[in-house]
Amino acid sequence: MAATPQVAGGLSAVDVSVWAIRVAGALVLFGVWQGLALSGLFFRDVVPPLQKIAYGLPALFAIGAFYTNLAVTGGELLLALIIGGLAGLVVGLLLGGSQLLSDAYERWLSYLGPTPKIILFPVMIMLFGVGSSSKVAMGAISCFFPIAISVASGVRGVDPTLRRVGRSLQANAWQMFLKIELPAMTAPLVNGFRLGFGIAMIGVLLAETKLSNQGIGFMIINAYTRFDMPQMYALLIVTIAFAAFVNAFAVRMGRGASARGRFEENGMLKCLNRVAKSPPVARFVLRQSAPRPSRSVRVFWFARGRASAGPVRPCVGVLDRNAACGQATRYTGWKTTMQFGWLTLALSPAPDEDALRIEQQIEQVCAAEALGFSGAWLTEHYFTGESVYNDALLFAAALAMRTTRIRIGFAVVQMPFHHPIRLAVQLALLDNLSKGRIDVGIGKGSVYNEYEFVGHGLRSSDSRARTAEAIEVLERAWRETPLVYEGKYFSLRVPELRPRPVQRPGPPIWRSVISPGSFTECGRLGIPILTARLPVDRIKQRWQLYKAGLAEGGHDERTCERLLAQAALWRNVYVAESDAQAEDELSTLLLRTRAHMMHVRGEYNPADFHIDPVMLNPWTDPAVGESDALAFVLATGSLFGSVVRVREQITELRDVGVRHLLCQTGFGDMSHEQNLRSMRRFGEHVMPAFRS
Amino acid sequence: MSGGMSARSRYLAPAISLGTLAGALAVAQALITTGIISPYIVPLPTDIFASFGRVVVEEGILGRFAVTVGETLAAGILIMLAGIPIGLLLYRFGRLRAAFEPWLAAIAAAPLVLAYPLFLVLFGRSSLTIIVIGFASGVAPVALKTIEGFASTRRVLIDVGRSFRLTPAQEFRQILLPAALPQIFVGLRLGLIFCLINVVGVEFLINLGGLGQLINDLAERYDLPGTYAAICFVVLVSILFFAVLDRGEKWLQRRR
Repeated sequence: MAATPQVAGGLSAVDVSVWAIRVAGALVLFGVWQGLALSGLFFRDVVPPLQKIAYGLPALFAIGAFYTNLAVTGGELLLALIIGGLAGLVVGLLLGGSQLLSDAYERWLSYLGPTPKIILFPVMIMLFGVGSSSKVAMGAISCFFPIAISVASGVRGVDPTLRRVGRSLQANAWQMFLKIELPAMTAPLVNGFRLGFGIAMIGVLLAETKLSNQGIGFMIINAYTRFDMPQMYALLIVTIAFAAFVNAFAVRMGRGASARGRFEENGMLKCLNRVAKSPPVARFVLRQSAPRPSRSVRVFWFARGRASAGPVRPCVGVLDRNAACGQATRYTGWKTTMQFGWLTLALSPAPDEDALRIEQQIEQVCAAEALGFSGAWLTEHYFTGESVYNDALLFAAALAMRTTRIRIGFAVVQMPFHHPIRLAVQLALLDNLSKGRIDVGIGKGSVYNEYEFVGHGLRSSDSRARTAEAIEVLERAWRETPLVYEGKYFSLRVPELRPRPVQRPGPPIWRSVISPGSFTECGRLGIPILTARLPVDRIKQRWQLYKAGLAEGGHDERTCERLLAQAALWRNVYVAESDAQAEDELSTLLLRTRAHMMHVRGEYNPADFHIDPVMLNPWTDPAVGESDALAFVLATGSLFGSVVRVREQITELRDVGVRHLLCQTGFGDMSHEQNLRSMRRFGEHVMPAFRS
Repeated sequence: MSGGMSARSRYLAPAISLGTLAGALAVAQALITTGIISPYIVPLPTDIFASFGRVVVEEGILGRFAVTVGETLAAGILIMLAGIPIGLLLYRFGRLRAAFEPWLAAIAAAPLVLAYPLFLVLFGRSSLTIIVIGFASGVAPVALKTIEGFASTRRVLIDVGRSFRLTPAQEFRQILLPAALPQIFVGLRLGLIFCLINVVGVEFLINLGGLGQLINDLAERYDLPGTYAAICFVVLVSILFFAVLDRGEKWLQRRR
């Protein structure tokens, strides 16, 4: 355990010398003892020679009364542990579960815990008499404190992910406790009982030495009064050895438990595995707890990704094909936790690779779901291999069938390229296929890639007006039956829009916002927002504008809170082994991506098209050199580094009010494996830090 | 976790806390006055409060307090004088550490106070016994924390020192000691807490010395309100002691 620089050389040689030192140390101690014993400096048997102590042990074991007294003390100790342990467990669970109770009472525990309990013995005698009961009471009071304190901190230490898993599986309070909390806090629990045992033993035995006519403590004090030193030594050796044995045993158990309890590596999978192994919850037929009757019964099972031989994936589904099922997958916990969405803008470098890249994208979404991302957000681009699936809606349908929990969002649908009614129908179908997991970000089309407009037979000049009209049609299509619309771009009459979306009136429509004015505007209208590259120092101000808009719009408090928590910020995210490695690799990827962007824009954008200068920044401006562009995008739009550094960067964002982060983890033609590695580091080591 | 205490709980929590205490006392008072609990088992809380003054004046509680604190501090000094050098020795000689650190850990975990009759025999029924027991219960944690403190000195600091060609004495004074101090203070705090617990406990058990003896004495005289008052006093003193140590440690850490 202790490998200091001095301990060098072959391991076995060191072991031998350590043992030699130990033996020498023991011999010296024994020698000194024997010397003192034989020196005659001490009165009679006060320091008896070693052989007398050695004879004392078998002599003790030969006394019948020893076993009777052992039984008495053992019984008292056991009872004390049961009473004090249960009380400590209950109190610890209550304190750990409630911040208020903990604030109110935990200080008492931590201060009263270390006070010398033995001074309460007179009180215990008055309350419980001079017999065994007062000893049990002493032991129970002594062990109550460390157990309660350990349990309380154990409850707080349970990884919030595990609780969320339990909640999302709708475990009831008892299942939650038995299957999730208790196993997760085994280590602190064992430790609490270990400390409690030691202290209860002291309490019981000291009480016995003080006032008693039976028990090991009584034997010790009796040997003292009779001046039977060998027996007293024997009793002390037996008692302390027993305590040491129990302690060592508990330490080992605790270590085993904490090794088993180390969930970070496999996240919720382990917890789910455990839940699955036990029959009562095996198929996890979790009743939808009140208020609604159990029409939608949730089940969960395990599945292995088809293409990959990767880890087993937990799946949650709804048995009943009832419209209300969709509700179950609605966001929960917006208020207290930070949400992480996963966003893809993947590029397939060559037509030959498209099929593979599409398959890999699906796997990435499945991985995002398993890692606990709250949403998978799809971008929409055409003609260059960027957003390799191109048709985000069709791709979303595939994802809806391969995933069960993660929400599927569009960031964003390029509105000019879709007929609003057709879009309304497709989104409604998607909402049904996914059981209400669709979010729709809407934009007016790329401001950089004019070739995407040209490819659809359009130009971007009227995109703003066209989009405004299309959004109106889309929203009204889900509300009005029949819908009659007369506009500049669209004139139509729809008898009834079918299928009806699962989410009412339809999937939430999000707006992508950049300018300060649009933050206020969206707030006023109560529209959820997505925002891209925004430097940290400006986030707070923009979020304030949104908040001000919300207040102006007069929305109720819950809506405001929900919308503020949902307001999403897009960031590049890359987690590597070290900060330097992350910066190097991300820089390479970003520069390749930028080169691709600049190339296709230069090549395909019509000659008469000029990017609106307002939209130009060092990253998008072709006139800016690579190093400046890179510096800009790394500083304003990217979270990258080792796990620790990325956590710091996210803390910074959280501190300015961001509670929903869209994480783009793939850049340009980055390989599938590299992307998964980074996602995994992020999902397993960064995200859990922001779930409470 | 507990860092983000909401404004609500900042005022509500102490209110609940104090309210519970007041409520419990009121209930006890009611139960005893109505005779449901015999006043010969639990005295009236008001009587306990009333006897505080008496206990302080008649039983010379301040003198006893001084005795207990004196014993604790004496043991504390011994702990410091022995524990830190032992820790340093074991840190310096890796093999010694490998051999004996587990022994120290075992001693730290052992219920040594159970051996108080042995100490009585060895050192007589005197303050010395109490001090030795206090010492025995606190020395192992201090030594362990000292080793931990020195051993956790960042390698880079030591290397920097070497690059300045510091002598071993300079290296110790200017690099190792400052790096180890926080851990050593943690050890001393733990050691002093164990020490106080055992000092009071043994005073009570062997009916000798300061506050512990007072409780025993009052209990044997069947002075119930006095006993309860003395117990409350000891609990308050312990809490004060822990709070002072806690503050002291934080203060030292800030100053560094």
